[in-house]
Amino acid sequence: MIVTLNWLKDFVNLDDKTPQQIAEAFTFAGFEVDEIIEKSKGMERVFVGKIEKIVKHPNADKLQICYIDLGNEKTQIITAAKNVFEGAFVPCALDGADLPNGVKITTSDMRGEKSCGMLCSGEELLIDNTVYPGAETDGIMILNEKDCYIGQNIANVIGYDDVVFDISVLSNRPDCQSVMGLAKELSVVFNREFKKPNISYDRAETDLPLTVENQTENCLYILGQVVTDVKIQPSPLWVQKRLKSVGLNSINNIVDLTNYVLWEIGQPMHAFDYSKLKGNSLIVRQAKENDGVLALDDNEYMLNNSNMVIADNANVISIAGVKGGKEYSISSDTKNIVLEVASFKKESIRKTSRLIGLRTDASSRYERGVEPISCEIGLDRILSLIQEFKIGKICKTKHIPTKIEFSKRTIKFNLSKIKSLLGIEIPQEDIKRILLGLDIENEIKNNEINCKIPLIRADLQLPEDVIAEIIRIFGYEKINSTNGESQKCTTGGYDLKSKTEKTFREIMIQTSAYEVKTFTFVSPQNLDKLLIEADSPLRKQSIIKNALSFEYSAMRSEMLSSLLQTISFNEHHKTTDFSIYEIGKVFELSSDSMLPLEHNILAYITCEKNANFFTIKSVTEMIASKLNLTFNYQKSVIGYMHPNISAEILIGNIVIGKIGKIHPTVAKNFDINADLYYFELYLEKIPEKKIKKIKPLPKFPSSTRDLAIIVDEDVAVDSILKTVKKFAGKDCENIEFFDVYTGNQVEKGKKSVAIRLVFRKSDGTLTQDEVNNYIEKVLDELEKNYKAKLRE
Amino acid sequence: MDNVEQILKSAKSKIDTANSKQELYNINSNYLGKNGELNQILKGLKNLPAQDRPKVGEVVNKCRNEIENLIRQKILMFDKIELDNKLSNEKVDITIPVKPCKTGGIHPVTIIQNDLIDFFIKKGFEVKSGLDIETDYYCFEALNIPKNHPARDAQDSFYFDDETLLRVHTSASQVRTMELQKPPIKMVSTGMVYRVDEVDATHSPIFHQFEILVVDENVTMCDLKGMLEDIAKFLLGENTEIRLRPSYFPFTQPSAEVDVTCPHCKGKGCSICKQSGFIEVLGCGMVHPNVLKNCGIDSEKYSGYAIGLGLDRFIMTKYGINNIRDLYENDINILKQVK
Repeated sequence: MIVTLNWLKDFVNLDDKTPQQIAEAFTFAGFEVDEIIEKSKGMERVFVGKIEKIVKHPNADKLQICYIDLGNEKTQIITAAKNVFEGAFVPCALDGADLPNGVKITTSDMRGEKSCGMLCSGEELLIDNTVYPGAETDGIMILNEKDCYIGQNIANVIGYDDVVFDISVLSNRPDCQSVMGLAKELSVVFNREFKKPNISYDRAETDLPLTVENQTENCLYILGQVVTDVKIQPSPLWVQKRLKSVGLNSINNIVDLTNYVLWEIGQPMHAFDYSKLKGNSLIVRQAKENDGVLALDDNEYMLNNSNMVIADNANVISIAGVKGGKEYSISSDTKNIVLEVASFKKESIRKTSRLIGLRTDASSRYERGVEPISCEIGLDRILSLIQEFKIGKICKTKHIPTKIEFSKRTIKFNLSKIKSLLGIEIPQEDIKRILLGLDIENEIKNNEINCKIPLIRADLQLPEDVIAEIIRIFGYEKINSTNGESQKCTTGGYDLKSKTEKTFREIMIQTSAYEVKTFTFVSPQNLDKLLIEADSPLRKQSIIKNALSFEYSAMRSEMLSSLLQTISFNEHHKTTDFSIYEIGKVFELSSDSMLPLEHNILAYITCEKNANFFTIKSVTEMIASKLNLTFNYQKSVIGYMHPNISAEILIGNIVIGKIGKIHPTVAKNFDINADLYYFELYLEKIPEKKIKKIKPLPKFPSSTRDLAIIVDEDVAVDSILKTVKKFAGKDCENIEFFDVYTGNQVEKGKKSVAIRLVFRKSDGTLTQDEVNNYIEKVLDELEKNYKAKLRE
Repeated sequence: MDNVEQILKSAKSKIDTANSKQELYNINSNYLGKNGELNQILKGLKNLPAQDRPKVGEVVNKCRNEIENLIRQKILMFDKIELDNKLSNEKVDITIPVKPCKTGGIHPVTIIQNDLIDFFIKKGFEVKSGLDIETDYYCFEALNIPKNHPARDAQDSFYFDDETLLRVHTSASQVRTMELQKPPIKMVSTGMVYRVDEVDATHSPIFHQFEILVVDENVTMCDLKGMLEDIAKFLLGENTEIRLRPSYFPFTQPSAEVDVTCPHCKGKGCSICKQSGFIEVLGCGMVHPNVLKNCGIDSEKYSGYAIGLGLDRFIMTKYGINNIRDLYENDINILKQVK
């Protein structure tokens, strides 16, 4: 919302306040000031002077001395400009001026003659012909003596004597989308009288025929008023200037006044040419199929039933609350006008404005809410101005098709509520003053306050709303800081999901990988790139209806593609040889619940140069060990992984993850050259860490045996280890695989597997015989199960 | 006896002049060994009168101890010289640069989330996980944002259908917590939030929030302000000041925007804070009675405050990141610099 200082001053005395003080007052009352534009900056010491006499400089050919009348003083200024003449009115920058173009003016001696300032060109004041005709003249700017007087400040002459504030008005305060509303706020903050706008006019005894009908519940209130004998002409200059300063163009006096009242009171309204109305009727209704209108912006808009229109018996006059139609608009021949002033449902206007892609000063106010009572104020105000400007006769009847009984809502509460909500006491006289300033009549009896809420303040519904108003004006800076010592003690902690996440985050810090955070919405095509089958559950993705783009339209059902994109991004930026992981969410559509399921997963990928299946498995094994869990690995065909280097990770028979080498085709699909190894873990499926008791240190020595056994190449090491474990006896403390060998030293199709067994008794020293017996048993079983032979 | 004196004297002089450990070992066996000179004397003891034997034995032993001691000391001396020589030859150029031992790193968002969680856990808060995809009810309706409320407009959200959407704020987790738990409630929740915004240097459709909620008897706006000061000092340093400005959120009343001392210029005024010395960092307020009611909490008995903190801007300030894309593109060369 743009307002100007001079306009605000119509309602509240601000003569002693600087623009900065006013901006601060606004900001700390909840109206953030985005910008202050002081157009007069630099013109404080520039005044209108009349050149009384011009004399050639005695010591310089090109200079002239101008003797100048400034009203309350006379002075002399030297200029080189040639266009000056005796009797000219010119802008004179006096000693101390700091001009808009940055030039500083001081009294100086010019070749033996004193010059007490400078005569200005338009360029030096940074203005052009649109601001003041003749400003672009080569030389000194010559002022029209009819526009100004001697001694007048130049800013005042060129209409730069105002300060513009650009203010963010919060969405709960549509009443402050107006100069009057904002001025009201200042009057309360500065504790000053609020000067109500002039409302006084007389109605004629006569009428022109008009019927006004409201056929839609989306129109809450509508007023129709005929004004006859209007004189269409340009608005007075000051009106034009004001409109211009807030960014509105001047059209003619009637249209300008509707805009003026829109800005001042916040009530949008329309003026139509009475003679163009068919059947003397004004109807507000929903649009019919094929209703269309050529609007004032020369665009043709096609409407449907969800849009509201103002119409007569035959045609659409305007798009209600958004834009007027061209055909019915005021022209220089217009003699009589109809004013239409209405209040519409916010959502209806918002919908229309969106649908036709047009946002106007009117629609943006209606979207936020214009109360029915505002129609009355707005109409009164424009009629008063019409009368004041003597540009029309106000007909006898105000047409009101939908009657509303205007009665104020009351809000009652105990004053103790203020202390219990805010934590501070506010003196009763301040409460009363603040509320009254906001037009909230109030009465305090037995510590109960009874507030009558002005009709314009739809936002005030509950005691808390009123209390918020009190503290807003009283000042947030008066709130103290306390540390909640009256609150009960709580222990705090983590819910299950947060705790799991925390556990894994802490474990992952111990790896040499970098944590990443990627977008949770991805391209649906990622699944194709991952070679995911059409019937895979991963295909059940939640799709965003209003996604930014196709690339960001599906909630990810897997995390691999996010990591692959990250690898690809880095590879393209010439960064290679690293590992990354993410702990985050994947989403799964569910037929049982309205919301998709959100699963927390950990995904880890490496493109390190010397990575292989075992380096990545060592990471999952580290995780298992930190959690005191045993992970099992089961070879499994996984579409996006290498057919022979891929497995499911299990705890018991529950699949808790996948691990393997990324299929080269998948890597290629993501434009990645490196070999990639990957694992993912489903955090919800992994049991909480159990604390194991620490084993006491052994008292007796251990005995170690290394076995190298020859088996067929496709016997899994894991199954050998399981057999060894099963039969190694009660004194076997540890079984460790340490090498596998295939090559010349062993028969083709066979491999040598090296295992270390450690034996120890808790109650004595083992004998060689005992150990030999255990080893024999193990070798027997290995031979039985795998035809294993001890390597010679 | 004189003999022993003689032996001691000659041993001493030999030890004195010995130049190597080997010489000392030889002296040791010559004098103290099985067939050494002292043993010879002991062997001759049997030829002495019985009453003299103890005395001679004692003198011999004393001599033996003395020689032993001298040899041991001299060996220690040689050991020390040897070691000193060895050490003086072991040299490294300690200025040679090396690569730091390989570690990974955590994402800056996680770092600040962890810091804040630690801070609030100590204050007795519980960390609640929330849902990214929420229903209209939890994201808006229950938070006093009915359909057609202008606040829904301002936060253009990503929708899946009329009823489900990506959460636009972590405040949704407030409602879920209050529905299940009765006061006293002290909870925090953090995670991704989503708004319809094209990606550019200062906007991202995905960013992170941290939500704080306290509901109990006698919770006041003064408590809120105290907490805000604590948070600001924790995040930006002891000298950070805060300032509250009235604002409007449908789910709090009264509501406030909070400005903190500009961390770039320390309040002196710079281009980032538009010369005001303060930057806006978060929104907060006293929980709206309608929200409490919607969650089945008696708003006459209980009150509370809620704070919603955007993390991304804090992180960018902390690490001097100018482009929000740097947070989500995951360039390893950026992540490496985050400590």
